[in-house]
Amino acid sequence: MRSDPRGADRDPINLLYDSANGVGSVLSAFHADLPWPDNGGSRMFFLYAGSEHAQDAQRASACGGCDRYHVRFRTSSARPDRTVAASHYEVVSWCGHSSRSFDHARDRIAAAAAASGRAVTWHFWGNTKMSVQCDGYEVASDGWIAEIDLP
Amino acid sequence: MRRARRVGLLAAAATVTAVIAALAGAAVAGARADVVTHVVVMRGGSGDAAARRVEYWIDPARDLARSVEATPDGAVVHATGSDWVLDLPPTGAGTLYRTAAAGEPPTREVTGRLDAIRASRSTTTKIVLEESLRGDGFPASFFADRGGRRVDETTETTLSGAAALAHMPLYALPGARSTSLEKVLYTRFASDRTLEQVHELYAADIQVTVDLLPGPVTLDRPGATDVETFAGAGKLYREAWGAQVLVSRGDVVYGVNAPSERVARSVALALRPVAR
Repeated sequence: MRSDPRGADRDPINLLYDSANGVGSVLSAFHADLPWPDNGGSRMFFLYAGSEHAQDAQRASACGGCDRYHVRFRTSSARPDRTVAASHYEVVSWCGHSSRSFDHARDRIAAAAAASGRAVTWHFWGNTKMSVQCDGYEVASDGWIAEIDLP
Repeated sequence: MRRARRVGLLAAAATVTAVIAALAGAAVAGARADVVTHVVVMRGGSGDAAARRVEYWIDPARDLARSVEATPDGAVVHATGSDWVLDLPPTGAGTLYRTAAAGEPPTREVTGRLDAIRASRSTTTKIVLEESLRGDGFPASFFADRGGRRVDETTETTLSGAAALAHMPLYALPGARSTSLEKVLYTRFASDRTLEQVHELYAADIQVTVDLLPGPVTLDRPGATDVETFAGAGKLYREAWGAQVLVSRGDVVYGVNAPSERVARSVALALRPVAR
C-alpha cells in the first residue's frame, strides 16, 4: 500500500475478508469485533493485480494525533466478494505517524474476529518487504495474512 | 550464537536515579559498533482496551538508548545518553537530568514543554545500558509481555553475524556483484507463525528476505508465475512496485524483492550460501 500511487511502499496487505456483500458488510462485522470509528488518516492506495486502487474505508483505535491501531480496507472491483485490508500499529513521531508493527495490528484484529466466532485461516503470502517509515524506522511483516470468513 | 551486545537497560518503570546508576557502570564496558538492538514489547492482550506498548532502542556504539511506551494518554519517552536522562510525559513538562560524573546524583538541568524538547532533541536519542542483553542480570521480564509471551527482537548485524544467529541457512549476493549490501537485520519473532527472519538490504532497492517457519508451507498467494531460482523452482509475483520471487525450501522461505522482474529473476539465480 502506498500514500501516493507512484510513491514508496508502506504497508503490506495482511488481512483478507471473504464477504459476498462487499465493504459495507466487512465494516459492519469489523465494528462488531472492534468498535473503532473512522478516526481519520491519509488516503492511501492498494497495489494488487498490477494496478493501484484507492482505499474504500479506514478504521482506527484512537485519534489522528494519537498512537493507535489503524486499518484501511479495499474491496476488489473484480472480486466484490473479496476485501483486502492493511493494518498497522503506529506512533506519533516528529514527522507524523510512523508504523511500528504490522503484525501486532493484524493479530489483534484476527483475534477479535476469532473471539466473535468467525473462521480465521492463515496463509503465508510472503509480504515481507521491509518498509521504511518517515522517521527512518524500518518495519516488516512476518509474511502471513489472516483470512476472515464473513457470512 | 553471536551475542555480543554490551548494553544496559532503561526500563519504562525504572527511576531516573536507577538509570543513572546503571549508566555509571556502562561506561567501562566495551561496545560493538555493528550492532543495534531494537526490542518491542506489547503489553495487554487483544481484549485490553488500554493495551500498552513499550519499545526499546539500544545503540551501544553511541551509548544511547531510548524507550517509548504507548499509553492511553499518549507516548511516554525515556531516553538516555552517557551522562543524561530525558523524561518526557505525554503532556506537560519534560525533564532533562544530567550527571557530572559517574556515581554522582543527577541534577535537573532543563524543564520545559514536551513539544519544545521534542523539537530540540536529536533524532539519535536511543538507549544504553551496559549489560549483556541475555544474562548478566538483565531482567528476564524485559523479554516477555505481561502474559509471559516472548517479545519480538530485531538486531542489526553483519551478514556473518546473521548467519551465526539464524537457525537456517542464509544466501546472499556474491561480493563481486555491483550492488552493495547496506544493512542486515535479524528478527526473532514472538509469534509461532514465523520464528526468525533475516533482511538483507542492498543498494538499488533490492531486498533478500529469509523466513524460518515452523514447518513447510504452500505458497498459495494468487498470481504466481513459475521461475527458476538458486534453490530450484520458485514463484514470481509481478507487483506495481517491481517484482518478488519466493522459493520454499523445507521450512525456510527465501524472498527477493526488486524494482523490476528482470532484476528479481537475476538476483534469485545469483544467491550463494553464506558461511556460518
